Amino acid sequence: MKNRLKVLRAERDWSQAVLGDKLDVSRQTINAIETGRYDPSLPLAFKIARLFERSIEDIFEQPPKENKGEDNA
Amino acid sequence: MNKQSTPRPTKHAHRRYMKLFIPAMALYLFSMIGISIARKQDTLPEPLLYVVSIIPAVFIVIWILGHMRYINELDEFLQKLQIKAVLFGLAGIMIIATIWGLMEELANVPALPVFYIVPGFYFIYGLAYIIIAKRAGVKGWGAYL
Repeated sequence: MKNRLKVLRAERDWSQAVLGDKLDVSRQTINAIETGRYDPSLPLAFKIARLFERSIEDIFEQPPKENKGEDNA
Repeated sequence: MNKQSTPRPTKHAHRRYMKLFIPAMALYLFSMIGISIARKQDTLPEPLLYVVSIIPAVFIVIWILGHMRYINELDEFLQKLQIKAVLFGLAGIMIIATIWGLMEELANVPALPVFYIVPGFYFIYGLAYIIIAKRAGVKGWGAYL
């Protein structure tokens, strides 16, 4: 899932470690979210949204709808 | 917004784990050496040897419980990586135990001591964790601290 976490963090001049401290998670977790390797849980997504005073949709981009498995008949 | 001054949970979990792991392993080694010496010198009677043999296992149980607590204290992403590695470790050791067990039953291969299950699990788990962490972009000691 794409997100704007890196941009929002850079705007505040925070390192990944600083953001991790603020969210009570590790630097590795921040890195994994920023690079799209890990999608945070709903509680963590809310925590991120609250910290940046944005809505979840403002930070996390909804992935495009997949057509796989749809009945084309 | 209030800034919490608590230490990073992952680092805290790692410290707590090491505080338990190092003494548990030291006591395990000391107890193994002590029991081996006593066994060689025939200083312990047979019934007592049964009881004393369990002592090193107590430290292994403490270590396993410490590892469970460590995983429980990690944040959600690192916890996911650990759980994946544990699943690989469990699956790997069960597959090996099943294959070897069948070979013992059906093909008369020599019996392996059951003792090797824990080190075998930790070996597979460790290898799996290195690969899983690397694939998830977690590098070096950063994976643990």
